[in-house]
Amino acid sequence: MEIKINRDDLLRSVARVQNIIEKRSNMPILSTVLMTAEGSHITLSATDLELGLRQTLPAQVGKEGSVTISGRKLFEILKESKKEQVEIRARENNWVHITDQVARFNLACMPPEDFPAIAAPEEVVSITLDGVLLGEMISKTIYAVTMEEAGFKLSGVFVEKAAVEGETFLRMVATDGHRLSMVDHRVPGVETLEMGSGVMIPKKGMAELGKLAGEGGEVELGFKQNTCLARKGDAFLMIRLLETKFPDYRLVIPKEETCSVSLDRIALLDAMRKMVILSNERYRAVKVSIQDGEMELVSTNPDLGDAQETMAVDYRGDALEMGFNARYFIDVLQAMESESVRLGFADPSKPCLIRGEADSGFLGLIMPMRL
Amino acid sequence: MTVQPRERRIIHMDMDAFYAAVETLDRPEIKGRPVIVGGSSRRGVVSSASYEARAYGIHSAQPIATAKRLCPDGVFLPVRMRRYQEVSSRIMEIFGRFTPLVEPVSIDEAFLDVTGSERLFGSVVEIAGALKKLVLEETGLTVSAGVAPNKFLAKIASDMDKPDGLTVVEPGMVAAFLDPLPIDRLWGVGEATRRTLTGTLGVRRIGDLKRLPRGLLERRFGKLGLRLYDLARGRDEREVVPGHEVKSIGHERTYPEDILDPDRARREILYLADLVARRLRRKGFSGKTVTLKVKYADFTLRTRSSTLALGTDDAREIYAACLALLPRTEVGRRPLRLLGVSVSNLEREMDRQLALFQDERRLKKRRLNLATDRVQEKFGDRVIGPGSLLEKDE
Repeated sequence: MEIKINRDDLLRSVARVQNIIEKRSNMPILSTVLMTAEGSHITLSATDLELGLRQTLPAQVGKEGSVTISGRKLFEILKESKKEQVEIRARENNWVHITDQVARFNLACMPPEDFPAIAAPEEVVSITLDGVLLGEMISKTIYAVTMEEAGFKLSGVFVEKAAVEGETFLRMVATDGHRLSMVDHRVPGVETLEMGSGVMIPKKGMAELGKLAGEGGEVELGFKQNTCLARKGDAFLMIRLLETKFPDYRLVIPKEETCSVSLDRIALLDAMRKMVILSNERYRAVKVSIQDGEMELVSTNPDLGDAQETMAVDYRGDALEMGFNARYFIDVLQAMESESVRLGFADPSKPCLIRGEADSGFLGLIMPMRL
Repeated sequence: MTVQPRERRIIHMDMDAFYAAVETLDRPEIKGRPVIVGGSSRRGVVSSASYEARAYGIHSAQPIATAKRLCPDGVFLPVRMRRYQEVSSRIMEIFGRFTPLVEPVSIDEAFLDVTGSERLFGSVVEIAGALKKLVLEETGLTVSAGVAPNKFLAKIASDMDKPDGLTVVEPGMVAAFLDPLPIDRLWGVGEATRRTLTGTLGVRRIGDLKRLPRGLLERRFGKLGLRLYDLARGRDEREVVPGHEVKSIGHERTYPEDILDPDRARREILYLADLVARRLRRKGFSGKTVTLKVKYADFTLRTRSSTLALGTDDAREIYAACLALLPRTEVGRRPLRLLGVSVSNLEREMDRQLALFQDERRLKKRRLNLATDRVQEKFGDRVIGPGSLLEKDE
């Protein structure tokens, strides 16, 4: 293999595929990037076996072929060079020569045949959706994912087609067993996706998809054979899906609320942040009391003291008192965009519902704590 | 104006040959005989030896095999931790009657700060005497007391006149008390430090150590040197910290022979998980972090932990978490001599944070566990338990 390529373009692509590379893998080949030159372009590939990313970019190809290069080292070499163009050449016995005409690097690399193939299923039904919208759906759910072990499989975002009032939406749901976030969006063609009764996309893959989508532009999304495939421009992402053991979340969404209050999102977020100052592992609960026109937050830590804040609310009715982990409120309020949010309560054994006008299709649930 | 440091009154209470004394109390027929309490396996060590046994040269941490050789006619008994715990909490309760500042150091010793108690209960020496008397009356056990202006001196004092002693170090007598003592009585002086101090610097007694300048000690021993400088002068500012919060609950076993068989290792882990789960339930805790400890035959020690989404006090859940950790150890491939299971990240009540998804199986399991606990309390540990542990008892 022999190529000449724009340093900036290559650096940007290497930075992107680098994310996927395992920092501490027991398979050294997984810390490398596969570079394949063909026609008038090169393709960079990285994988951790669960997740694969391929990126194609233009290059002057002198001689077709492949090399593997340590992702970390390639990134550093490109970052330190100040020249516009670099040359990369394969030599005998898997040596790779990189030069910007100032510095010359000879790297001992692994044979490209050892690089695990990222086999993409063929004939995948996919839909096209707006990257920003997809990125938003991901950022509104991914924070609730937990890597902790539980009876259910919760280490990813559950994605399914949901029928709401005769229309099919693309839905994402994530939960750690204590709180849940769910977002629906109308996406043309969603009913054609081959995703059975829902798929689980692991957190790392979802985060990569979020980054790719968040840059804007159109994203093609499809599912096949336990794989999620996404393409945006010259980048192609493959995510191995998790086994779905997602709980029946529909059952835990309260059908009715006995109390509902509207609050300024930022004001509530700030208040919760203040309450957290006095909480710790052992004392996490913030007491939320609502009565005529007033919502009071109190955080008590026997080792430190207490904190209190009162906010005006538009509520008239029976007084209500419940405990919550303030961090869960901070997470959901940060992910939302609406100026004003509505909290709905049922009883102290049921979750609080969080919605916002400008966060259409979004619902947050937070389970209370016993006080 | 100089601020006069508050003069403190600290008592160190140290039970005499605690486990052996409790055993003698429970079996009056062995009174006066050498009693040795310790691990019953071939590799077990002495946990506690009565004063009669000590006359044969038996001391704690000695291999049981050695103790048996020294005193073949001794009464050798297994450790009954639950019983000692029970007696210990009664004793700690007695200590608490004189001051809220009781810091249990272990099952059989505690520091008490009675500085503020003198007006109520008389002088510190009278309080120490009253404590000894009450412990003897209410439990039948003797305890040695050390009275001094700080923890370090009180601890040395309690050891001066065992058993059933009461040693007082008056603030003016500190130098006379400390100077003649060998340097290994100082906290932090182990074999290596002692050799350097004696071999290179010619220091044998605490009084000798006082002749060394502070700078020299710091250069030689770093932070430890500074501490030695203070301790040699009887200075120790550490407070008596009451409570001593439980941070984790665990259990470990050293096996009579190394274990290589992975099935056997798994059974042992289940056994430990079951014990730990029962102790968690008895104390009303649940914990989120499960730690598996493995000591291989060559004494290398490895611990592996994982954190669960929900706190647990269930043996099967703890066991499952340990099994998931096994691939990250060399169990089954490398012989091991010790296994330990512990649960930390403890929560006081079961799941204060309510769960979105009520796991019916979890609730049922919880009811089963509580029922099992009641059966075991009534009829003993061996009547009910995990089936796979049955062959252990053959």
